[in-house]
Formats: sequence, C-alpha cells, structure tokens
Amino acid sequence: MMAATDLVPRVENAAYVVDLANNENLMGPSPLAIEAIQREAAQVYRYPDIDGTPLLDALAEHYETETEHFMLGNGSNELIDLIARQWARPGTEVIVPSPSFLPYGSASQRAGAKIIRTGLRDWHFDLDAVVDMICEKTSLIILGNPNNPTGTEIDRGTLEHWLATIPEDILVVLDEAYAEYSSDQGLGLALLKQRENLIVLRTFSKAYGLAGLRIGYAIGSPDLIRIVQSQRQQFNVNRLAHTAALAALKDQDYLLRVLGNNVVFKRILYAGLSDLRIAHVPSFTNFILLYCGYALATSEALKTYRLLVKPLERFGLHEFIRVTIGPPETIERLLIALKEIQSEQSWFPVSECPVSVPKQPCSGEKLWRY
Amino acid sequence: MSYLRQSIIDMAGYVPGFQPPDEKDWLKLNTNENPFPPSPRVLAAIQAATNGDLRKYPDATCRAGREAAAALYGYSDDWVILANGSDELLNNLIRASAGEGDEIGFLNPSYSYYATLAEIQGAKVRTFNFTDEREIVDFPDLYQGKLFFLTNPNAPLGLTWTVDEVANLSDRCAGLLVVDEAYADFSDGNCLDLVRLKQNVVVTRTLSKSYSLAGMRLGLAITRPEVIAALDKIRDHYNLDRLAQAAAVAALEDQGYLLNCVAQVCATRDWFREELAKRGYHVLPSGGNYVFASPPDRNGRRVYDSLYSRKILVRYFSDPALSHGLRISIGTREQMEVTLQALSEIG
Ligand SMILES: Cc1ncc(COP(=O)(O)O)c(C=O)c1O
Ligand SMILES: Cc1ncc(COP(=O)(O)O)c(C=O)c1O
Repeated sequence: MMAATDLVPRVENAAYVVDLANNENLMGPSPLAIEAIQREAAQVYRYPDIDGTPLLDALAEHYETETEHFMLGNGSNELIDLIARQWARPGTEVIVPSPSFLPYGSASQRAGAKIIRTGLRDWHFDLDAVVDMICEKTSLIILGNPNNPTGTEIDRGTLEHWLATIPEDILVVLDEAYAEYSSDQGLGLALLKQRENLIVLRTFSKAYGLAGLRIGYAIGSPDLIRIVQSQRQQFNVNRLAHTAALAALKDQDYLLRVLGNNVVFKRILYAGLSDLRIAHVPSFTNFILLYCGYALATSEALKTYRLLVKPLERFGLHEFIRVTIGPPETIERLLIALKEIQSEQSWFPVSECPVSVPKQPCSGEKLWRY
Repeated sequence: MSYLRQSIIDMAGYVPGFQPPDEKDWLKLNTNENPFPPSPRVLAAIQAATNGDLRKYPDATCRAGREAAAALYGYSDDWVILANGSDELLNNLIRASAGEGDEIGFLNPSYSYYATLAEIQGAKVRTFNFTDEREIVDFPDLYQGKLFFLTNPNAPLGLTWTVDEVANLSDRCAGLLVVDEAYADFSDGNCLDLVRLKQNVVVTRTLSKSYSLAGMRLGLAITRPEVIAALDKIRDHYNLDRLAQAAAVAALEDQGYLLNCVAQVCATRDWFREELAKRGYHVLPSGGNYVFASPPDRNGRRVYDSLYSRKILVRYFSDPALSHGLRISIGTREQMEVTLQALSEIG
C-alpha cells in the first residue's frame, strides 16, 4: 500500500484550498449580517449589552415564547462547557451517546464526571442502551440531534417516547447545532413543552454561517437558564457577534435559500456518489459520512487535491471521512478527486450496485474507551 | 436538581454598571470606557475581516494576537495568552488555582467582580483593607490563599502600588499574585518586569479601557509558560472570534494612537482632579482613567442622584466604606467641563 505522504500533489486545476472539514456553511452569512457589522463597528468602544437582550428578545419572538427561556454563549461550545461545569461534577456520571461531538465528553470529563458512552444501531443512537446505563449517579445525558459526525436524526415520536422514560432529575441536553438543516426544525422546542429538565442548544455557526463570530444559544425553562447563566462570565459575547446574529436571524429569506441550496447540493452529491459507488450515510445536515476504507489515507490523499476533509478515526470510525456539503463546483472537485483515489488505491471500496448504506462498525469497548 | 451546588442556585450575581437603554442621551462616566474611538487602524482591520470568511472558525490559538502582544511587551510567545475579556482570565486563573472551598484574596475595595468569580468556582474569599498610604492592613507574613488579586492601579480609588511594593507583596504570597493592570496604561509604571523576576506573578491587561475596545472583549495575561499552559487547557476552545483577533493585532501594533489617547485622558484627569479640589472635593491621586471623589458633605448618593437627573451617569457604591464618594470616569475635556458645571450647580 502506498503511504499517503508519497502522493504527489496534483492541483493544477484547483486554484484554491476548499475546507470541507468543519461543517461550515460555504455560502457564508447573510449579506445583511455583514452590513450590520460594518455599521456597528465604530461602537466597539462600548461594552456589549450584558445579556444580549435585543437578540434574546428577537429569539423569543422568532420562537414565539418568552425571553427568559434563552441565553447566549460564546459559541454553543461555551454553553456545553458551562453546563458540564454545573452538572458533570465529580461523583456523577454523564451518558454520551457516541460517536458524537467530542466536547460533550471532554467538557464533562474536565468537570470531573465519569463518562459513559453508548453506541449506535443502524447509524442512529441506540436509545435503549442509554436507558440501560442510567443509574442513581447519572446527572446528565448529552444528545446531538441531528448528530455530528453521523449526520443522522432521530424522529420526534421516538424522542418523545424515549424522553418520557428518562427520570425527571436527569438533565437532558439536546444539541441542535444542525437543526435548521433537519427534517423537523421545531423538534427541540416541542420537546421543551413535554419535559422541564431539558436544555436545547442552537448555534449561529452552521446554517447561519457565522462560525467565525462565536455565538450560540441555549433554550430551556427560566429556572434552568438562570442556573447556566450564573456560571458564565459577564459580557461573554461581544458586540459585533450580537449585531451580526441579530441581523442574520432577521434575514430568514437568506436562511431559506441556504437550506434550499443544501437540498439541491445533497441531491447532486448523492447522484455522484452513486455513480462512483461510494457508500454513504444519508444526511440530515450540511455534511455527509463517506465510507472510504481508510480514513487517514483518504484525507491525506484529498489534501493533494487541496480538499480538506475530516478523517473520523478519533470517533472510532477508522474507515470513514466526514465532508461538508458544498456547492456544485466543490462537489465536482470532490467527486473527481475521490474517483481518482478510488481507482488508484486498493483500500478504497467500490460498493454494490445500487449503493447501500455502509455497514455500521460495531461499537465495542475498543472504540468507546473513556 | 439535586446535583447542583446550592451556592449556585442561591447566587445573586454581579451587578455591573447601569447601562441606560437610550445610551445616546446620556453622558456615561460610570464604566471607565475610553472617550476616544479605537484606532482607525483597528476599525479598518475589523472592516477588512468582515467578509464571507466569517463562516469559518477562527484560529483557536490566536497566534497572531499572542505574537503581537509578546513583541510589544518583550516576552516570548509562550508567556502570553489572549482571552475573551480579561474577565475570562480572572475567571480561569481562579479555576486553575483554587478548588472548591479553597481561599482566594483581594483588597477591599477593588474590582468587585472577583467575588462573583470566586462564588462561581465555590472558592472562599478573604479581603484586606488598606490605607490611603497603600498599607495593606493585617496582611500575613505569608498569605496562604491560592491566589491574590491586586488591582493596580486600584479601582475604584486609583491608588497605585510601586513595583517594589508589589515585589514585596509577591514574596508574601504562597500562591499566585495576579496583578490586574486593567488601567496600567494610564499610570506611570507597571509590573510587567516582575513576571520574569518572580515565580508567582501574573499580570493581566485589558483592551477594554486604554484601547477603547470594551465591545470586542479582549484581555491578555503575561506569566510563566506553565501557567499559560494551564490557562490554555481550561479555556473555551474558540474563545476569541475572528473580528476580535483582527482587532487585537491592529490595536497592539498601533502604539502611537494608544499613547496619544492615554496622554489626553491623563491630562484631563489631572486637570479635573484639581478643579474638583477647588470645589472642596477630596480626590485621591489616580493612576487610572477615573477619579474617586468625595463631596464636602461626604454624601455620594446625593451627588449621584443630582447628576443622574441631568443624565450624567457616574458610579456610586452603596458599600458604607465608599458611599462618601463617587467614581467618575474621565471622558473628553468637554465632557468633564459639562460635568464640572453640573457639579457646581449641584453644590
Ligand atoms: C454538534 C455540534 N455542536 C456544537 C458545535 C459547536 O458550535 P459552536 O460553533 O456554536 O460552538 C458543533 C460544531 O462543530 C457541532 O458539530
Ligand atoms: C480592575 C478591572 N479588571 C478587569 C476588568 C474587566 O475587563 P475586561 O473588559 O477585559 O473583561 C475591569 C473592568 O471594568 C476592571 O475594572
């Protein structure tokens, strides 16, 4: 087998690097958000609003509920950390259905809790396994939906049924970073009506295209929100992030275009993957899991085409890469590159025809060590 | 919610300076913001970074910002960290050094937010009083708390400890001595060199005051690489966004602009202090961009209310040790003339 580093760069036709590794929105943010920052920039000598109240009010209006149900974080990353500091204390156990966004586990571990990982069944979280792992020490369950890196979602009925079986004293965090792309955008909010002890996380980093500005939000009962608030430092989100997020939220037309495009992009990508017979997991997000036989070698090979993707060996998915779904020209570049790698490398599998969803690797102890 | 610390559920939280909703109608001299806009180069850097690249995650290490700060202060990069406001550093310094139930110390009065941050961490707090001659009352030969914050120049009083005094204090701290130099650019000296000389000294700075960037949330710390490494481990992964990073580099590199703004503020401060003294006020010498001034009748509340009714906002502290005066941030010369006029009318 050829070592990835032996591959010769062949990028004459690729003018620039395309980063498909971080699930960013390649369309970028709303132009109205850009304009709003430009207008506000001269005001940066003033402290921001301490809670970001104008944005909280706008979120409340958007979701048709009250401002007290919301708080802002310096990205949802910070919110995960703040929640972990309070709920994932030494002596407690946190259940993290996996593979999932790595900070769920790392933040909880740093806060002192023991991490219990449960796995997948047909690329969806095995929710029964979660219930089986609950004990009197369980304080927190963190669930990504749609989930990163699988790109799959759990439907409303299943989640409602499952939530009803979780003891009331356990906090459930539903991370909906990709909710805008999902088939059920109102899911988290609906579940909040069912369950008191639930926090929903959302972010402006993904569909709103503002990862560079660090702003996300939590939705929950006023009591829960107050507790998470008490953990944060004052002024955790800066003035321009507030401004941009508010403008982006108000530009729902732009968001709809982003989402509409993603549907089209996905269709083009699926067709290309079928042609190449590359197995993949159907996505409810703006990224996709591809079965390529050897994650690290594939990601290294793609670098020679100036394409950056995420190899998933750290998630226990050694044969998979995760790729952001981009516009047609990016998809074309990706498909051309994959086709060449596939034809040259014996480890890159050609799936049966028609292409099936790849077999999910077993999630044994080796993979979910903590 | 049996898993939660009762202390958190009961927390009152910090009460920051009042921000009026109709900001533009007010003369705001209550949060020590700089009256001058940020450097034009900073605004240009923000505008230049305001483009489609905002879709991308920022540099998690803030390398360019660290390099700019390291070059400016004469330290190597691994002695420097940037943060989402110096508040984040103060918070993480407590988290890095003090466990639940451990003690940290600071002066009374000083930045009251230390107490809130300690409370978040579940740390105990011990405060020490000090005299107008900067004598810290009852400070032990070796203070055993995990961390001691010295706000230098002191806020809200403006008193400034000398480098020798701080060096001496560092020898009497068994834990970290964090010299919070939020206002040091407005003072004659600073303790940056002590970081090299003393194992346990951390200096923190903010870009909120002298650099007029409160809205961007930028602070930095200079300390030994071991402490920097610990702070890096516990911080939020992407703590600084793209625009903040661009602003930090441009601000730190435009020292000419900084020095000019600082010189104007300091000149206005010293003139304002004399004018207040002429009106019978007692005003401590200040190394910050504010003065602590007591009216002849030592009734801070009365003067605060009268200024408030004229839409001039200053900081009043109800703490009995401070209620005899007001902390007045230094604005432009014109703003301070308006304030003096109002104070003359109030009497
Ligand atoms: C599932 C999930 N949650 C949260 C985040 C972090 O989002 P933010 O940029 O708001 O911190 C990500 C980013 O990759 C993610 O995939
Ligand atoms: C003494 C002191 N330290 C730190 C800060 C906080 O600064 P930053 O805006 O960088 O969080 C302040 C702000 O008022 C302050 O007065």
